[in-house]
Amino acid sequence: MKSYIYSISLIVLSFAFVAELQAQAPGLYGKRLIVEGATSILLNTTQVRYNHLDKASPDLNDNIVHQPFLYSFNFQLNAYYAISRLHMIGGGITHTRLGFGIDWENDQLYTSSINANVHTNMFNFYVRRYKIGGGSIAPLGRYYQYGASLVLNNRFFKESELDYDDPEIFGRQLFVTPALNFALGRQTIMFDKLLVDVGIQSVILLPFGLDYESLSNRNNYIINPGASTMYHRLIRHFAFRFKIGIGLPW
Amino acid sequence: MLDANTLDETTTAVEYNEIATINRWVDELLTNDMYMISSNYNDVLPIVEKYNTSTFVYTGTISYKKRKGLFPNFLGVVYIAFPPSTPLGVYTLSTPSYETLYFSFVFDFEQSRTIHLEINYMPQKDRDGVIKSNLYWLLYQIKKEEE
Repeated sequence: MKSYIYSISLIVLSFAFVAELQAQAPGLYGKRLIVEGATSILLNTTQVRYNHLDKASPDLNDNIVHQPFLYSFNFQLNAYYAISRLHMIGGGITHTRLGFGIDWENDQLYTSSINANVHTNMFNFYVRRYKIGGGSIAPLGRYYQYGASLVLNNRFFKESELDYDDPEIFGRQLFVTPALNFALGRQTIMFDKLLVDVGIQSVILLPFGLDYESLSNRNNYIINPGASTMYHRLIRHFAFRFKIGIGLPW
Repeated sequence: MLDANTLDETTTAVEYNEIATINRWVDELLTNDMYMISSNYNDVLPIVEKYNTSTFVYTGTISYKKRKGLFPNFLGVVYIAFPPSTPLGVYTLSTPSYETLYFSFVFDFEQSRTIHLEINYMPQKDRDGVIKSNLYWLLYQIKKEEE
């Protein structure tokens, strides 16, 4: 799998050096390195269901929460560098925490409250191309972006009995998944220094390193529905999102 | 810098005349269909001598608010109707569209020719940073060409 990731990264990065390497790169007033903090959001249209484990109300029926419209967030730290007027290369890390309650209601054999969690750190490498037709001078203007990502998913479960107690954590495992990342967006400058970046993002998780192992886990009975849902949840979470970022030139 | 936008009580008649001479020279050059020496060629030579350069930059920006047609508004409604893209719809419908045209010429007065020409259309507001970025880009190219 590693060679697969390396190959994708090399192919993607090679596109950046095909053209205009000898071109002039003005950057923003001469500063070519931009460091950006960002988040991406999406309104969930499905009912997000989780156990909030309220101490004051230990009854599981009260603790199950259905939240039909909930914006999910993640946090990003990016850095990109201008290599020509219309090209930038960059990298960054995206941190996401997802969690949801496992469906226990359909099987009364299990009466605990379980939350499935996955904490994801995604390392992105990408090439950003700006549109000369839109008058872009990187990092200002409209752009599209493509690249490769390495997605580290830390999966674990939290379980508590009817009487609320500190939840037990079990089934902790790390899954590494390669992915492709894409983005469309536009950047402008405000207050002479702040780079505002808005756009849409998409990360396509490739079918490697996914959580198939949990099918044979000793907690198979509990984990199976959660594990399966987790994949779909991850894929849905990253498939299409709106990005808002604020950058500073260095 | 000779700038028609910064005329004030300290501006001398000589400077005013220099700006007028340059404007006339530029107008004539841009309206000619073929290469020809400007009729006020002899008028710009003293300016070249005074500032000790034959190269002058002539630059400006035109910016306007764009009237939104049916299509952007329709898209905005579609974005709002589709919940995941609601923020984009609100942004599309609530913000006006701007367009900016930045142009820059570098002229050689002695040889009556255009050394550098750039016209940059940008679908965004003419914020200070955007204009400065274009100016920086222009000066950066001139410096690189000199090197």
